[in-house]
Amino acid sequence: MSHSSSGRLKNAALDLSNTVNQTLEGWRDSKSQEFQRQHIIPLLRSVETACQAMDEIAQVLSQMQRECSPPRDEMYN
Amino acid sequence: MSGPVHLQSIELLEINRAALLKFQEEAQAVINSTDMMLKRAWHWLDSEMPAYWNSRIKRLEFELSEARNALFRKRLQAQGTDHQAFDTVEKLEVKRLENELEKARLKLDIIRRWRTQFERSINEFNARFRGLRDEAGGGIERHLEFLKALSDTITAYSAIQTPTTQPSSAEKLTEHSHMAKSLPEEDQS
Repeated sequence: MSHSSSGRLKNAALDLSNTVNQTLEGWRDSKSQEFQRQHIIPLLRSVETACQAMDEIAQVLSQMQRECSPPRDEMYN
Repeated sequence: MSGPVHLQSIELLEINRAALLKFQEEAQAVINSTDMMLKRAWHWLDSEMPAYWNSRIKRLEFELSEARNALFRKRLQAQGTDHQAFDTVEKLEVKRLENELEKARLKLDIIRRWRTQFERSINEFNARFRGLRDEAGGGIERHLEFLKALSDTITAYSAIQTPTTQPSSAEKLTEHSHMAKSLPEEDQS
């Protein structure tokens, strides 16, 4: 797995987070807090966990490739 | 839950909705490419590499057999003569092929171990990835429903407040802004 997948996901989450933060400038009530607390924050946490998992499995794949490949062979190309 | 609504414009809800949909699209694309990549990696480990190394082992076994025959012939040629067989090259070739064969057999053992390890890693990965899958699926729908319900409530309230006139967009914003200060929140409990 390439690190670009987790990078893409992080960017998507960052875009979402920035947009939500901007709109919250003009939306300040208990509903906006509820939206943030019950909807956006859990979503961003799931992204964080997923990105960590993706980075870790990328390392696993890299090690697996090194140990199992024929010499000078390239995996997934 | 009660208290005033402070929402400058209903469009802010629409902006959040669009941002959630954009995120969902990106997240789904990442999930799909990740699933495909793991599937390919498993196939590589479970089928392609064992096939490659088994084929290499067979080839090396054949080459080793040929090299041993060559060495035997060389020694045979020297029999009955005064001098010792000059078989250094043949011996080196046999040794090299024995080493290569040992390495190739070791690779199969390593691949067998990796199958178990990689399966465990995929299971661990899926457990941690599940949250994102849930969010990109039903989770986003739930967030969108929250925004829609809020938007519908505000729109309905706005219609009650101004039943006879058709305000312009600018007036609508003003209305929503005004309404934002006075609309009581619905009870979510």
